[in-house]
Amino acid sequence: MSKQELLSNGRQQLLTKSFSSKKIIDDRRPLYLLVGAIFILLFLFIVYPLFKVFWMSVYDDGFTLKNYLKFFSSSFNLKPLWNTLMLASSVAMLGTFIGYVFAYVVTRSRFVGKRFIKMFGTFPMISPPFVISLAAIILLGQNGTLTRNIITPIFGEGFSIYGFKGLLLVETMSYFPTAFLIFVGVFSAIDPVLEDAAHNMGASPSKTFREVIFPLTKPGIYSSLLLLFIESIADFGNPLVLSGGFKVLSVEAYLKITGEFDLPMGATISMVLLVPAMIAFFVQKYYVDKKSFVTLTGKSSTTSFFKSHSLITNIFLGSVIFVTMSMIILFYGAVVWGSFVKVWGADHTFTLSNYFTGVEDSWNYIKDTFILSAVATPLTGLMALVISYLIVRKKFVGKNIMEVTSMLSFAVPGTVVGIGYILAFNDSPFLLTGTSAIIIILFIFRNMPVGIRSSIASLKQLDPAIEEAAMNLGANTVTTLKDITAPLLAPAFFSGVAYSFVRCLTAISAIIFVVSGSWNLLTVSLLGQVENGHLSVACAICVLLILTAGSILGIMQFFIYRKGIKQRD
Amino acid sequence: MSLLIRDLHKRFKTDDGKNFSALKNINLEITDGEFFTLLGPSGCGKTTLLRIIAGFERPSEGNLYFNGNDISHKAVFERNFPMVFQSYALFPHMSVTENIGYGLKQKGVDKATIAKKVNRIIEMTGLTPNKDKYPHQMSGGQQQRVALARAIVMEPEVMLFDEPLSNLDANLRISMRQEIRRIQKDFGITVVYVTHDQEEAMAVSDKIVVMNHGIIEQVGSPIEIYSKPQSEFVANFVGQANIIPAKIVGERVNILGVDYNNKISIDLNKVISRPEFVKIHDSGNHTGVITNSTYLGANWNLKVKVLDEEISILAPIFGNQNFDVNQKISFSFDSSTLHFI
Repeated sequence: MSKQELLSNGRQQLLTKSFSSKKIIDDRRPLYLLVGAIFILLFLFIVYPLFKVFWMSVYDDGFTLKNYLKFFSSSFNLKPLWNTLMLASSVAMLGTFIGYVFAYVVTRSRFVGKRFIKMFGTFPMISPPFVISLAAIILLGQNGTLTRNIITPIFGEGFSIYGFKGLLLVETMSYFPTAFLIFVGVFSAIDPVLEDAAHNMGASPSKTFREVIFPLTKPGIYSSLLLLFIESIADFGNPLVLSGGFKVLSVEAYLKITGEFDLPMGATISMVLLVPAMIAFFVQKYYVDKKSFVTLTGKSSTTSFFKSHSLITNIFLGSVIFVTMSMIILFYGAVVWGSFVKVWGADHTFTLSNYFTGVEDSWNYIKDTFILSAVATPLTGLMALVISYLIVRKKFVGKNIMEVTSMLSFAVPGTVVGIGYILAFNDSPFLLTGTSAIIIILFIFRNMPVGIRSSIASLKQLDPAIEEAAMNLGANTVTTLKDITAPLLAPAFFSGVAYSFVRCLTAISAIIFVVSGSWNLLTVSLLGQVENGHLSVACAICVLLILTAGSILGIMQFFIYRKGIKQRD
Repeated sequence: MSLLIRDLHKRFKTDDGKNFSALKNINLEITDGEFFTLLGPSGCGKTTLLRIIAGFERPSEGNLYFNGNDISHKAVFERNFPMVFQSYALFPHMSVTENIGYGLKQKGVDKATIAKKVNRIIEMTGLTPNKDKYPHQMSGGQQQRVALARAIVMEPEVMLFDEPLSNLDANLRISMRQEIRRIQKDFGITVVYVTHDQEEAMAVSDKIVVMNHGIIEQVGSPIEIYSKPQSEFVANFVGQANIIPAKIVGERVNILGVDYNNKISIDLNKVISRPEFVKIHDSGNHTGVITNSTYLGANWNLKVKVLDEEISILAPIFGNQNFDVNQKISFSFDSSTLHFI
């Protein structure tokens, strides 16, 4: 437990003790009601579907392990497991490396254009899940521009982007931003005065990096490896488009259910997929997180923040950044270009018709997507706020269980959740299949963890003494919440809401199982366009999605920024 | 002679692109074995000067000599000027022993010698029970000791301190500063010490440099700084001071309408008297009205209005004597302690 937590617990205890016992009962009843309600929701929409998947994999007129025996006895099934783990480990390593370099340059170098680099480090986060795959196909596919004009003339026929290589490329590009954000946090927490101290004691810059900076970032490296591993395992959109003969578990589970209607086997594959993800999640949460070093220093004196590096270091850092940014520009540029040509690869005349066709074809999907996202998003934010407030500021039995359960969807691959939802809500008492409610609920419980995490972080930064001061001046609990806590948390709340809206727009993995004739989503129709080879139309839809997501986040950031300034005055 | 600073300037570019002079024409000589303190309010340039000595910053102009060699452009890690940082800057992933031995390791000292030297310092600084602990497992005072030990173990030629005591509570501050002074004397180390606390500076230093707005106001021993301040700034920053207009007429000086003996006959027009050298007695030279009185335990701190001036008086407690606002009292300045600027 951190010092902060110890202090706030102590404070809480003192407060509780100073009340009479009668008052505690009066005070706690609404709390227990709220906690109970939340537990029911968490169990119904997170735990129960997972349990149904498990049950489906082991129950057939009695307990049985035959599905697992079938899975593990056939090399046809083991191959996807091996592929998934191999791919996830490679993506984790490469993505961590690139994220580390990006974060190091942004926080600890004298590079020009750091804001630009930062933008590139986060940009892939707001794009739909398989945009990069789409770009990979139009650039490097059988009929891709680069394949036809560069690769085949030089290296001859036989190049294929489908499979391990292609997936490693697109997943690394999609997920290195996660590593980047982790390391920005890690590097910013290391007081630059430590570097001064090491230099002062005779350590050269390279030694300082090896012996001081690098060891301090190790817990962050483990976290990043594990989280990228989870993201790659869970990835569904990219492998669906780009895997070719290279089978991975998430897609296999989907195909078993939608193609062969083999629910027990689909559930079994989901369970096999779930285990490594859960292991990685719990190792990260309970082992790595605890090992991180607290740089507890008082206020630091003025320090020269950005050290200059040797030429070789700069060339090394610069080339990693340059290659990654060029790839991003190339891939997204190809999508934009592709959206304006008649037939990609054949007729490159400029046209706007893809946009008209795209919007016309997908109008119902667009409408549904926006309606459902608009309903789900505020609810997500509210749930996240309430849960994080309970976790940080209140004491009650089962608090840890609430925290872990609510964060669980972080680790559970979308495919598993999707299968769980069709199993759990297909008949009474919880018949939800085909309704808008199931999509909204899925949005809420899938996107909640991000909001909870950011709210917990800002709540922990908010000194409880500020709330105590309000009460001390005569404000009651509700007034304090309204006048003090809520306004201070507003930036975190609204940025959480904005992000979950964007995640709704770009979700695919779990959602593909619960869409229906009456309620369908843009990403699903986009996937259809890609599979049917309507690449230019798909590009146009992607561009529109990215622009929408970007402007929502931009507007939100603008308001938060203005609000932030007002609060500081 | 050990450390020599010649015509040193330091300019920074501020965020709005303007040039800001942090240090202007600094000239200093720090002799071997001296406890040398840079004193001044925040923003006066004292930390910048210390960081230039350490090598974290380069001077914009001027030079830094150590034992006759120009070291202005020597890299930080090639100088042996270990520093005790304000935030201690202990490496959080290293134990106490590892932290203290880190500098020796950089020098390429062999393991056995490192262990021996580190152990001796650990014993000397009373850290033996904590030697395997990590920084976050210790109190601020213990961390401070580690930071100190980490620098001393280097057997430094010059040791640097950047407000090392500002994160400690008052009692610990006093005992730590005595310890730093004792160690400095025992080892004969040259120390450059930065602080904004004038009492701390007085207590530990052989020599004090008072700085303000990037320039040196005065260099001198603590006694010189206190009794013969060369500017109003120094007089006010180090202790309290009554600074009163005075007219010198030959052998006499006229203060608030009363003539005092005058030893120096230079053309100065202000006189400084410390509050404790203003004596209250029945037949004093001046009579005034108390405008404010504060009881401090050992003393009374009084403000007395005479003509148009407000005089501070620090009067020792004497029996049950009481001072009230609006009371009339009479007092005299101690002519032997008067100082002119």
